[in-house]
Amino acid sequence: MSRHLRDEILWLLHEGEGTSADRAHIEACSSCITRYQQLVRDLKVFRQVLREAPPPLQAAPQPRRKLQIRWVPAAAVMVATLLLVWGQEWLRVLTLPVPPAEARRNQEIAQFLTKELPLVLFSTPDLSTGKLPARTTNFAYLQAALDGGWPSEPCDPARTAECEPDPFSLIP
Amino acid sequence: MGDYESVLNEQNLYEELYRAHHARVAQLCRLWLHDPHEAEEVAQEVFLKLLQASKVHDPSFAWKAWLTRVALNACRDRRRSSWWKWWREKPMNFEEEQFSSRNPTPEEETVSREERERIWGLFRGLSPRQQEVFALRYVEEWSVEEVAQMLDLTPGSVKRHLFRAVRHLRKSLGGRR
Repeated sequence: MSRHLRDEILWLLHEGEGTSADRAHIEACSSCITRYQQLVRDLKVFRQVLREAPPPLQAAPQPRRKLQIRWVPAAAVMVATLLLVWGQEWLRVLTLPVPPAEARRNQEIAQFLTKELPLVLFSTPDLSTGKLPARTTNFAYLQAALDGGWPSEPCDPARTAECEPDPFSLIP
Repeated sequence: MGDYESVLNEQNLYEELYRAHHARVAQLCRLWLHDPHEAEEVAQEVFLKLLQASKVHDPSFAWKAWLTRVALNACRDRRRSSWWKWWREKPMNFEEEQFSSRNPTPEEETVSREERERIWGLFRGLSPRQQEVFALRYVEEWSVEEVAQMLDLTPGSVKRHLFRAVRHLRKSLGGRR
């Protein structure tokens, strides 16, 4: 019993082949008979399993909940990335130097809007800066009317005692 | 009247052959094609051919060998076609219970689900020739000579394929023992 039988010989014995010496060996060798019995058991299991219905080729799809959990971090990362990119772009636009030509044009537009346009739209002189004469006379009104300045209103003697006689009354 | 009896006999012969061989042929197709849906299709094709052949041959014809050969050729054709290869690569989900024809016996229950999946996976990893030889010899329990005749091989070649297949399966499953 110096040499044990090879697997191929054991298999041939199972197939009903092999020499008488091999059969004699397997009857006498406990190791080989154990291996032979294991071969017989294995073949029996193979037969049994392969006569049954085959198992699925691939596991069933994961439940929807697991998929959602997987997508949450992905969505969070995407949103964070978008915010980062948007913020960087916004900062870049803010820190950009304004070109001289554009700055000059903006200044002209601002000047037009704050100074020239109100003069055109609201032609009444600025009352806050103007100053009424302390003493208004009919002559002063007349002179102002001729100059195109203050409106020429007749002096009301009932309102003020200092009102001079109406020069217009002299005109027939 | 004679025609009617002839048609009736053909129908009876077909039904008898279907009952006797359908489960066997379907299982062979599952072994050789891997995809149970396609295996069912091929099994139906085989029995469509049987329907035509049953009109020509008599009941004493070697139907078992004929059906096996037709199934073998049909599965080989499917394997050769390019779309079959593409389909095989696709992930497939199907219910195992859909194809179970019977409940497992207590003895079958002793083989765990993981072990069954592993054995099937290893069998699918064998070469097509080894799968054919193994299925006919150990699942169908044909003799080596019958297998050799069916596959147009010599008995020695059948034995070599068989032993390599057995050795591969046992070696790959060695870790569990």
